[in-house]
Amino acid sequence: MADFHRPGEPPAPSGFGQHGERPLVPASDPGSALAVADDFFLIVLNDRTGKLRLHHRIAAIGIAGGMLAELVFGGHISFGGGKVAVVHTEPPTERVAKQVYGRFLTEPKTTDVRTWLAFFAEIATGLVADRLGENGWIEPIEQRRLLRRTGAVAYRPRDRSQVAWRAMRLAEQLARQRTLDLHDVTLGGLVAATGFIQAVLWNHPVDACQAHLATQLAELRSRWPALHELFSHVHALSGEATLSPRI
Amino acid sequence: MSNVARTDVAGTLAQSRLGVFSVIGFALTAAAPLMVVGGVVTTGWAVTGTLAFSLAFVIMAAVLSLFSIGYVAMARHVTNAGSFYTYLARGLSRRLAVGGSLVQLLAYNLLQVGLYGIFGASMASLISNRLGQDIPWWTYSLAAWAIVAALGVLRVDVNSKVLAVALAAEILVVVVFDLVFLANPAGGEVSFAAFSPGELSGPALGAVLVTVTTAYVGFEGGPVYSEESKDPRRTVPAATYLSLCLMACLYAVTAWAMSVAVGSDKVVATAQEHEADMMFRVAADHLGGSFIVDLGHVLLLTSIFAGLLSFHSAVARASFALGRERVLPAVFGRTHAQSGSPMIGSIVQSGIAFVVVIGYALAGADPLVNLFFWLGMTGGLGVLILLTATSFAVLGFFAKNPGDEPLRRRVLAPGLAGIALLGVLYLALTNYASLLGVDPDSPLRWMFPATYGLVAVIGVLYGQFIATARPEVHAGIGFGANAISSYAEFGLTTPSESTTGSVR
Repeated sequence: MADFHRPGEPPAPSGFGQHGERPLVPASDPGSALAVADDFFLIVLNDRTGKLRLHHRIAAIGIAGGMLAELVFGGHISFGGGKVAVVHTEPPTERVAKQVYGRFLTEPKTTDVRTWLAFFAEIATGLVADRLGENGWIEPIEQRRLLRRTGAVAYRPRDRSQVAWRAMRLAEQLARQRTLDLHDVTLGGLVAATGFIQAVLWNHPVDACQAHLATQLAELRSRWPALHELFSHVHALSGEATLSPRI
Repeated sequence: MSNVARTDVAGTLAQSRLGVFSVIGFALTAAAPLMVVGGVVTTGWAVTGTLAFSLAFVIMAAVLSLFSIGYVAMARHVTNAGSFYTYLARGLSRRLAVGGSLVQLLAYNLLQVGLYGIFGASMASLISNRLGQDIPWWTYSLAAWAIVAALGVLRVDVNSKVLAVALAAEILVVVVFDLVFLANPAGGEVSFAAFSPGELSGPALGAVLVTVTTAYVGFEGGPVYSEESKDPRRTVPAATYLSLCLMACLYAVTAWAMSVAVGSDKVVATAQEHEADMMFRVAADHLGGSFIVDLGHVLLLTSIFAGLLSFHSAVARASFALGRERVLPAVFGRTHAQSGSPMIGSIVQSGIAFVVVIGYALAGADPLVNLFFWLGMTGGLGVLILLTATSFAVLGFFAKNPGDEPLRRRVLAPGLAGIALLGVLYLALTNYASLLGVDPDSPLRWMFPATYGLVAVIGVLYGQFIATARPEVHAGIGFGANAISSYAEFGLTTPSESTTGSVR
């Protein structure tokens, strides 16, 4: 199973580091190739049914948040006061991240974080599902009902236990009061902001785990204010999706 | 495969936006037109003993249109618009807004719970007429309750196309009935007594105006769709005025047409005899026991059901927004993961409705007069209170932020609407006994309205407490889902938190 039991694995409290200072996840993690958005997708994916366990509109906001967080890690964009600041630099090497970054460059007049997040939420689920498909995590299957095609897509995991492990891994880290690395604290922030934390912690002491995550997030805030702002917008947009009478 | 490069931000976001007619559709679903003409008006005649609803519909439509001018203008300038207490928070004070939020929760709960009365009564009469089975009303109410409670938490989408078809069918049935009524005037003469000002006087005036205001509830929903409409500057105002206009025409003409067919001197007696069945009985007199009468009866039930669901989610969403703001306990800000529904608010609303329906069943009270009309109209009174306060909140908001809105929208319209609504409120409160149809000395005449005074005072005191003890919560009041204090930390329970401030 996963390697976080490995001695010395948890990063030091100062482990958030600066841009590009440390890898997002330990190299020996079986999900080490996973981007935050992909990991979030797998956490909300039901490994048995292949459907999302989180409402699709809210899940999409979380996945979009993950995609934007990846660009923040790489120093390609930053957030402040509800606005996106695009840094003109070397584009990311990963294909989807590069496309997303390119999108920001082609529309410099759109600076509102909310607008970008809402826009990427429209396409994020498809993009990330494609990427996970290409990397051999899932395969999309068209759902059928009474011999009819419904048009809805489910995502069959290639390896159920690996998919189920993504949520358990985060929960275990919180339950053991580990210091989370940048990848995991971002994941925790997105899971909390989309209201999915109770589902992740279903067989763990919820209050203690939540308090631990809150402490970790507070620490993240001082080092990566842009990420904290991103979570706030994900939280608010998810709330608006719930308030929307036509979710 | 999705491709980022081939999409553009504005175009992608515009695809899912709503147009005027979608917004009108949502607003009218809450208003449930067939339920208004078939239930509210007929029960109103029976309880208040007054004919003059048609004129009252026209008068209140004018007052509410005046109100809407400032209301939709302010909606353009605030986030989380569409909730009265947001207006109070931004235009008057956050402390008052907490009082307003409790008034709003009480009012919408009463409107919702009242509908279980008319649902049960109508269903029981349909089954008894058609199948000869006498089953108590509350059986049907509880069945509807169970479905609403489940749909509320699971947030099963009632397809908007299904709603649109049902709504169109309702309106069609009403129009057909109107034509039949007007073609068959009692005594061979079309009387305009329903529009006569002479009928609209005395103690019944306040009662009729509250009833009519209740009938219009739903028109205020437009600003909820501000952020989701194609062009918030045009879509929301257009939808608000058009739905008011459509409701005014439909309600005023139908109430008049029924009085023409029955004879204006017999309307009250007929209504007292048949209550919510009246419209279908009168229609059946001319159409026989035809398909359209049965269709009308079934559509009345679906209309009430849509209203039940609509007010249920309005309450659940309002509690969710207050939970997000931490005015209500944070647990109300939690959602059901799979459905994204405001789960706790939904469960609590269903709990309240269950207790009330069971209480009425045990007490053997009348489902139509005591449950539907008393509670429903008291809910309408709450909305009237909120409308009045909101008019002044609009004045207050534009006094602080004049912006580029013209004087008539900032001052004139909300000022006049506020004065008119205060007048209506005064008439309503001084004649509440006649609204309930009880003895002029009955203590019920002040007990019902007094509950609003009580919750408002509790709310304002609680708001005062929040202002001093939890300033970071106080700062976020009125922002709904956008109220993000660091204290909340996305709904996580933090043992200690000292920093304040919020991200907008």
